[in-house]
Amino acid sequence: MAVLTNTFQTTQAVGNREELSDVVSRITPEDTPIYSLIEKGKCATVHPEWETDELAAPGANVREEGEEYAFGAITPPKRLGNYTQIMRKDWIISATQEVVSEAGNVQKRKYQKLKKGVEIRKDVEYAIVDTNASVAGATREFGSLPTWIETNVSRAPGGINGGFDPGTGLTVEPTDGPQRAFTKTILDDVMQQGYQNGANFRHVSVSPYVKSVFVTFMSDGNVAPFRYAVSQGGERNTIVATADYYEGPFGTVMIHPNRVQAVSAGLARNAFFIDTDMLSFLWLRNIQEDRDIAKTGDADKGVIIGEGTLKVHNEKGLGIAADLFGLSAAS
Amino acid sequence: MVIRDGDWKLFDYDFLTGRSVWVMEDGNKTHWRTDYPVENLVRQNAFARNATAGNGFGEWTKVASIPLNLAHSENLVRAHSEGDDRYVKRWLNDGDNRAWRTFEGRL
Repeated sequence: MAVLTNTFQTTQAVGNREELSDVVSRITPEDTPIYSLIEKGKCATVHPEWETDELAAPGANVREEGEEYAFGAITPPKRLGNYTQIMRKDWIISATQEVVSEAGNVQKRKYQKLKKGVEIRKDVEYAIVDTNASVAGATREFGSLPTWIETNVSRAPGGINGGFDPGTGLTVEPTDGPQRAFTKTILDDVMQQGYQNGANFRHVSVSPYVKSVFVTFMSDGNVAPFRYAVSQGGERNTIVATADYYEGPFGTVMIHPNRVQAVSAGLARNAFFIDTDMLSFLWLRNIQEDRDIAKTGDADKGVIIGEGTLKVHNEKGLGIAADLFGLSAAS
Repeated sequence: MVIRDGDWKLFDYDFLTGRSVWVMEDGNKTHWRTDYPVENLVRQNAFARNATAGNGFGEWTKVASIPLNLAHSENLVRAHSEGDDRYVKRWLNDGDNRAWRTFEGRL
């Protein structure tokens, strides 16, 4: 196959000596916007915990001359935590298949390994944007992003925030409200709340459809609204394949289409506003191949496994516009 | 079935965007190549630049649409996360990158 004219290419080489997890992180970062944006760290237990502390809200501070001192109580910092989640991909190739393919055994296995590695990373992204409360125990789950955010939120009437429950140490699933169209009012509402709470939203991750709605928020009212030219052969696809850079009232924002969020309406209904300093992904066990699988029978088996969790440093630095029509104007 | 382009093997193809990801093994290194068809995007950006020519910066102004792989490989995404607006704006103001601009104003 030849490359068509005007095709924009990027090429990168990845050496064999690197760890699989590094390789997986560097290939096509645009497939997993949120996971690619945030820092990757390490954790040492299945339940890493951290604390957040905040300043009291400013208020009137007027004292009388010669007054006796009184001492207020100290508010202890909030203790938060999340549980790690084990993710696995596996394959089995019959020995015959290995032989009939023209590529060598190593190549074949390696190719599978890379493929599964990229798939597992997409599963990480899925786990981040899905709505699942954290679960302790043997089949642990980490609380996903929508279950953490409770401060900078726009929900439809009837939608209820989730958030972290200090009593149980688990996050709570938010309750969905009726879906609504994404509007500039919703966007400005979340941006404004974030600004007032000290968040610095640099990135917005949305489903491709919501990104196309975003484009219609045109500048000022006395400018003719911008309409797309009549579509010519797949004109729409440009919406999905680009990062859009906006000058807005709260600084500059980059909008990323997240194809993982297009998997289902449940994932597409949220738009995430992200301050990358406030979020990281901690690996307890990096994504790696289990090399000690016993060989049985006439086949070659492989497993890729990793265990990690999402660390929300402070949910005040993140925002969500929930209950949106995320796949089309009515779903 | 393996689809080939010379030594490259097709790894992933996205029907919606026409993006294809290719992989090539040369013994001790794995090479990756991502192809985006950008003809439509360049045309659309030019159209948007012309349509918004003369507008002032309003409330929300889309100033650029950059192919995703380029945004990552040129470190724009990272610079933007780290708050290095000067780097991003210099890149966007550069005439060489005019194809990705959707608004004429200087940032």
